[in-house]
Amino acid sequence: MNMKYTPKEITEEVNVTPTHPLVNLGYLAGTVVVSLVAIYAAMGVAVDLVVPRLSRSTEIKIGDSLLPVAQDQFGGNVLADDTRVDYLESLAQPLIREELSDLPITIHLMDTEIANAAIIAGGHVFVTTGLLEESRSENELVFILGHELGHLANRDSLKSLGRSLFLLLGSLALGIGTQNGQSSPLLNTTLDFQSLHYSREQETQADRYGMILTIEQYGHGGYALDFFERHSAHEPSFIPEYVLTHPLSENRIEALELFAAENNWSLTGDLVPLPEGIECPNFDCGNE
Amino acid sequence: MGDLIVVLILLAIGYGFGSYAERQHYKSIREREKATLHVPIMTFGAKQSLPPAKETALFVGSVVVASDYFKTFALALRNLVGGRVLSYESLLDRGRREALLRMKEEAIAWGATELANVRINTSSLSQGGQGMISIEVIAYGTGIR
Ligand SMILES: [Zn+2]
Repeated sequence: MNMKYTPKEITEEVNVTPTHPLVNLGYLAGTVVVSLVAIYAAMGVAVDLVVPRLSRSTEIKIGDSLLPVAQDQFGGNVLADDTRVDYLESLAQPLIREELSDLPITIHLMDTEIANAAIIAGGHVFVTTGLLEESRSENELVFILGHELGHLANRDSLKSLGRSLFLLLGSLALGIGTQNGQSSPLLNTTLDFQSLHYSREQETQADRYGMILTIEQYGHGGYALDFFERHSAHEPSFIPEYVLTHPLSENRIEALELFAAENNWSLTGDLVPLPEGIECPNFDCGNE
Repeated sequence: MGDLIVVLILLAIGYGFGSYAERQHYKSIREREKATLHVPIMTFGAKQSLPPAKETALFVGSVVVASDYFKTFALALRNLVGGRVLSYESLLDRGRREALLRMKEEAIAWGATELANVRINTSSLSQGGQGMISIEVIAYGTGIR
């Protein structure tokens, strides 16, 4: 069998799609960007749907992975063996209501001048030695602890993580994140106390929660708001961090007074003094 | 923001030089394909007997073509969504045709009247499976005269 060979020039480029590369890249980048924007927007909406459905064990895992970062950001050493931690725990224990009974509440006393208190997910409550020094009564401390427990009960810390929550859940599922108590850069960017802001609504809810607990504890709300009244009006030169991360304006004090009036709660009553030496390690101020 | 500017500059360099090189290469490929058109290349000859010949010899043509930043960037985006990688089609097309041409030109210089049992292989030279990719295309066949 013989066939004649007829040379034929290649005139059609069947192996190369005749789309201009820039047009192709434009469509490709467009698709990817639009998808990412859509996913980003969906995640923002999904946070509020996902947070109430997270199990306690997941919340505790998230809290544990954030704990080293939170302690770093607070600054100062953790005073784990200080007897004041036992005192704070004994203050907080009767404040734990049914909705938080399955969450282990841990108090972390941070050795820093700045008066502050905050929580992260998983039942971690931070109190600074500065806050103890600034406090004038147990009533104030109970309200502040109650307010923080309110944030825990409403899972505000999880909500404030925003889209990072999904990053955290993903890293927990993959087993990356914290190793040997070392925090990863990923988690460092996830949690930022400096720019932590709860919404006005979240603060109002936490305030009311704190007020309810205070009333349950003492039968009245006397002296409970004194910490804020001192700092909101009379000492403009010194603004404690706590007021910054939990801005408690005159409005909020008024709102709480109104809330108490609506429920026929008295805002006057006996002051419960703080234990002697609350400003010193182990309540021991020594003899100077 | 600084990173974005760097990426845009790299994209511009990649696109500018890459598409210029590609146009020049295609121009050369078309001219040389025309010039070597008279010698047929065939895939048969492995299990069939070769056409009558006085002499046969093996000819190998191989070429390495590098991707550019623009093509790699487009590939990275494409990897997210899947589908045809248009920017690499021309890269592989150029590689195949260049390898065939090199094999053919060497065979013609030797005096081949046709090439039988022609095969093409491709492999990629990449840095640990990541980043910029170069491809190697090798074409080989039996020259007959
Ligand atoms: Zn608050």
